[in-house]
Amino acid sequence: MGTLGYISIIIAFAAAIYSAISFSLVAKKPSAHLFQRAHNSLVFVAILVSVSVLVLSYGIFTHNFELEYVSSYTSLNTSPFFLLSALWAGNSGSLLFWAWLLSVFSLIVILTRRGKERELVPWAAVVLMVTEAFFLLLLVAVMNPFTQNLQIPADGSGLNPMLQNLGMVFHPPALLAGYVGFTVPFAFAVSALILGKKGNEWLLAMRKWILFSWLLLGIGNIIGMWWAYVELGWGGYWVWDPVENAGLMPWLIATAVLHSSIIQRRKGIFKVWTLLLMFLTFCLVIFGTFLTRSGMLSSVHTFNDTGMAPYFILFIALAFFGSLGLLFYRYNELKSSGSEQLVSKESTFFLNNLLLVGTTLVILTGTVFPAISEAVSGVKVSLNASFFNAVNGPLFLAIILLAGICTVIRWKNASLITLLKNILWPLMVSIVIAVILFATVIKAPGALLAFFICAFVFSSIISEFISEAKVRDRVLGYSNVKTWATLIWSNSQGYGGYIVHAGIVLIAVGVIGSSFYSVEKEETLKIGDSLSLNQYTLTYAGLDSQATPDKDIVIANLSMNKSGVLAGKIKTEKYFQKSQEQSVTEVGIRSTLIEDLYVILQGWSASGETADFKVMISPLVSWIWIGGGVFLLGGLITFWPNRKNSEECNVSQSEYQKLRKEKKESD
Amino acid sequence: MLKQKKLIIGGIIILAAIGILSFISFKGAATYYYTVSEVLTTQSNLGNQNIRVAGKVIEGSIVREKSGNTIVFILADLVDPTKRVNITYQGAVPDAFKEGNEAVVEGKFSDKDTFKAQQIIVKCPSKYVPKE
Repeated sequence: MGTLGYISIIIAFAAAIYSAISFSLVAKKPSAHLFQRAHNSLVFVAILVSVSVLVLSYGIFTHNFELEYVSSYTSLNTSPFFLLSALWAGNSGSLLFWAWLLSVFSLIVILTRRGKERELVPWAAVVLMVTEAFFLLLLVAVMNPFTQNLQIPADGSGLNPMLQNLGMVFHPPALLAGYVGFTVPFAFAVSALILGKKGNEWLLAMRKWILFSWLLLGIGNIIGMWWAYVELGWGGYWVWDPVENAGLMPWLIATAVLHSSIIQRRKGIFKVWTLLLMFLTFCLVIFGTFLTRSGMLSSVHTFNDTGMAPYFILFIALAFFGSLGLLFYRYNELKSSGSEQLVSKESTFFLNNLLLVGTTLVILTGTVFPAISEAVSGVKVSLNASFFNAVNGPLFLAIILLAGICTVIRWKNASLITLLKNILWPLMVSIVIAVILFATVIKAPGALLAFFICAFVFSSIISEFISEAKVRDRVLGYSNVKTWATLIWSNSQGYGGYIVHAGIVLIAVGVIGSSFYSVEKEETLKIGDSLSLNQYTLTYAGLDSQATPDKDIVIANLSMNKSGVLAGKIKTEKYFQKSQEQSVTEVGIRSTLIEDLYVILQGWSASGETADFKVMISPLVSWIWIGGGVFLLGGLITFWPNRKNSEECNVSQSEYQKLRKEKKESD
Repeated sequence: MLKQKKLIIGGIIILAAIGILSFISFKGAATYYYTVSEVLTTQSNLGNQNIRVAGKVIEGSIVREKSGNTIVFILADLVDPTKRVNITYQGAVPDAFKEGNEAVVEGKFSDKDTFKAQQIIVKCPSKYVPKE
């Protein structure tokens, strides 16, 4: 069985190379016959890699412990749900998953290109197949998922208990799909450069792919944060660990791509800049894939050197210098002569881009710092979370502030007066909120400023929605409900974007609250003793123990008093997975919109008479997950095409503005 | 042209802000990373610095103190296990921390023989699992 899977990969590798060569021949000299051959070989690659994935899945689901991968990551009593996630739980499995996603995406892309984009297909397919070949090569030469055990164990080791969590089932595929997805626009960008295209063809063709990948990567990151928070049991959700940064960096640059591509589509400027960002996104994706599975950084999150480093370094170098070289080669044809006014939406977009690139550079430098310092001075120096927080905190706030300013500023030449008029209402609302916060709980100047900015951005978004709705109301005479319902669909990209911004603001609110105002306390309690933190009092009731076939569980029960009123029970556990000899903490969390109460069982005496607890109160954490949901919603809305056949859009933009002015004057 | 200059100035301001922030926060965040044998040789030069030490937890060396949440254990060099450091640690122990496993401790030497750890970071058996 395993051999079948391995042979599939080897043949797929050969087919990918054949496909890449054929497509490059087609690109140079178009011929229907050759194109068909190249096309078929790409389909063949997808089929072969799928076969491989099916073989591995089959092995997992039938508990075939001949395969080392199956015995390392599953056991007889792993539930079917987690058996599925075992497919991407291990290094080689997730690489196979990467290769499979890429082969499927390539297939979809090739089959769905119409019209003008078809010119771009051959070279794009070359890039896709070369990348595919790279990953297949890794699988063939270094990380074979189908290695066999010399001795077949009776049972497998089982999935690491920390991964047996809903979040960990969705986080890797979302993240990986986001990663892989970016290969497609990268391929089309390279193709456009090779062909010397000067227009926005690649961008227009790739809009949905970029959005799709960006959205999935973003959601993948948020799920990862949620998992760390509930499963790892230390009360936080982000530590700027290299693995976390690997997922964040491409997302930040992709956000910059999204924004700069909007400008490119509207104005025909920023062409070189958008291309550069797209190349950077892809390089960061490959670099991130490398970071999470190599021993390059002795981050405690990665394995020892698996021998993949040279391959990755070569591939990243090829992608990076190759695409840069192309850019230089075509530079003069792409340079645009547009200019933009200073006080305009365009400049907020550009500043936003600079800030996003800036933070990514900071994160990148901080992440690889130990490797650099070791190379330079012989001693590894690592930068802990405080560095990243101190530098990125203000930068992220500035980005959010820009989002707010962008909402109230107009395209093209926005006079200062118009800007001030639009800013007035949101500014007043946020000042009022800031004053209220200061008068009640928020005294720290940093937090106050941060909340002020969040309030400003949020109210500017709401103000925009309301004012547009009002105008549509008057101009088009719809009922209230219809106005709101049609408002979003009339400009799904714009309003979806605003909703995404709102989601980001909510996440920021959660981060600010929990970063500035978390409190914690550690105490050893005897049965009947209480621990108080803020308005909560927890009384230790005793230990319970349970045993299931695969784990031993110790449960500490506490009763919870909130502001003097009995509010229920809370429990926190530690369990020991028998097969893995590892303990896992299941924290007790009570979430409200205001704060999370977080209880960790740290230790206990043999009799259970006393137990050690750590209790934390983290304000506003729930808003991070709520913000994530809003983010997803906004992202999905931007996918929708604007309605083209409705009356609203028959009113052209200039007519619309004229009608608005007339209505305003007649009021 | 004037407008483009203004944007370039904006870019420079951002870079300057990044530079200043980085410079300020660097000192407090930079942590030297040593193996056990390296740290034993440079111990006299360390002073009161916060550092990280990497090694392997010796089997049978973890002792939980009676009071509070403190444990003591011995960290040995990965290459030369005769080089050892005594570690004391108070607080939550990460789940993957076990005798025989590799670990990285962050803290400082409280006296010539004992390293007081503020944080224990462990390599996780599975691929990409962030731990504190």
